[in-house]
Formats: sequence, structure tokens, C-alpha cells
Amino acid sequence: MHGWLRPAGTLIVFQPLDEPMALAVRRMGKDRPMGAAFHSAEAGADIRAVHRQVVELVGAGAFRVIKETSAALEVHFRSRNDWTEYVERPKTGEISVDFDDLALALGTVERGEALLVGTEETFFGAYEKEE
Amino acid sequence: MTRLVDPQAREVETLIALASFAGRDILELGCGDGRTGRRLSEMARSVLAVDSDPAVIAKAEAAAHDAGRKNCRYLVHDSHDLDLPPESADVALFSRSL
Repeated sequence: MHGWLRPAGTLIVFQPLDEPMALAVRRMGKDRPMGAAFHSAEAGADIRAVHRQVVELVGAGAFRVIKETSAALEVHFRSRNDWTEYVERPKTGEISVDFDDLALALGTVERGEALLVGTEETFFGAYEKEE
Repeated sequence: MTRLVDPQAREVETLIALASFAGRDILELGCGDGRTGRRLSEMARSVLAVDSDPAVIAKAEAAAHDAGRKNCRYLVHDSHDLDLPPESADVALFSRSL
């Protein structure tokens, strides 16, 4: 990986923090918290492994840190099917919600009256290849 | 209907605040639906996007074609044993993988 970059090239790593995705129903611009969607154990382990590798690359002097930051990225579920597809992904973990409440909320989403919104805090790190 | 990931484009906004992409050759590993590279290709010289899932690469390629992005190339490959020419990228993007 190190060899593909030109001298002084930039490595950028971005991935979710090892935190659950916050779920909310957005109606008329207002969010009502619904609960959280956790990463699976496998996804959490992947996230931590990438972070360890970045620390090692910087520690070994291969890269220098330009900047590390985070941003909240949203996912909009616009139908019951959107939500079902997401939940059935292999790396989705436990969903911590009131499922009756969620079923009602998905009804409003289906009627186009609301959005189900997932918010995931995401890490961004930029690193310059040492010449 | 498909879920919308990052409809406010905060991902690209954050990336642009971190690095320059204008006129540069970008390698994106773990590109998924390809939205990031596709958005960055508006300013980059080239984007090579790689993912091990043929289904997502097919979708990403179709989306780039529909958007008229002629500077995007797509490759189905595991990023761990990718054989690319040395020093061929100005920016390497890793999303959820190293």
C-alpha cells in the first residue's frame, strides 16, 4: 500500500467510529430519537484493526499526521424495504429500539410523511507519505 | 427505493477540507457504491476505485457511466493483494479497510 503512493502523497482513512448508529424519525424537520443500531462484532473488530494499522504506520515513520477529525454522516431510509435491506447486511449488529414504535414509524415513512434517519459519527484521518 | 447515504455530501466536504484532489490521481480502496470517488472525480485527474464485491462495482460503474464520468475506472479485487504500479497515486482513500 505504501508503495502505490507518490512521495508526499496523501493517505486518507475514513470509517465509522466504533459506536452505534443513532436512529431517529425525522418529521417536519424535527428528529425523534428511536434507539441505536450497533456494529456486529466482526465490523467492530475491523474498525479497531484499521485504527491500529494507522497508528503503526505513523509510529514507524512511514507517514506523518496532517489532520484527524470526525463528522456526523446520515443515512436516510425512505421505505420499509430500505430499512430491511440495511438490517439484513451481514455486518449489522444488534438493533436497540422499541420494535412496535419502529413499526409505527416505518408506516409513516412508507406514507412519505417521515424519514428514518441513521446518524453515524465517522472518523477521517489524513496522513502524508514521508519522502 | 434505495437508502440515501450521506445526502448532504458531508463526506466529500470533509475530505476536501483535508486534502487537495484537483488534478490528482486517486486510488480508492473499498469503494462500495463508488459515491465518494464519483463525487471527487469532478475535480480529480483520475479515479481508480477498487472493491472485492463484483455487485457493488457493477453498480458503481453504471452510476459513473450515467453521470458521464470518463475519468473513473473500476476494478474487482481484494485490496490486500492488489498489484498496482509503484508511485501511481497522489491520494489513496481507504474506507473501512487498509
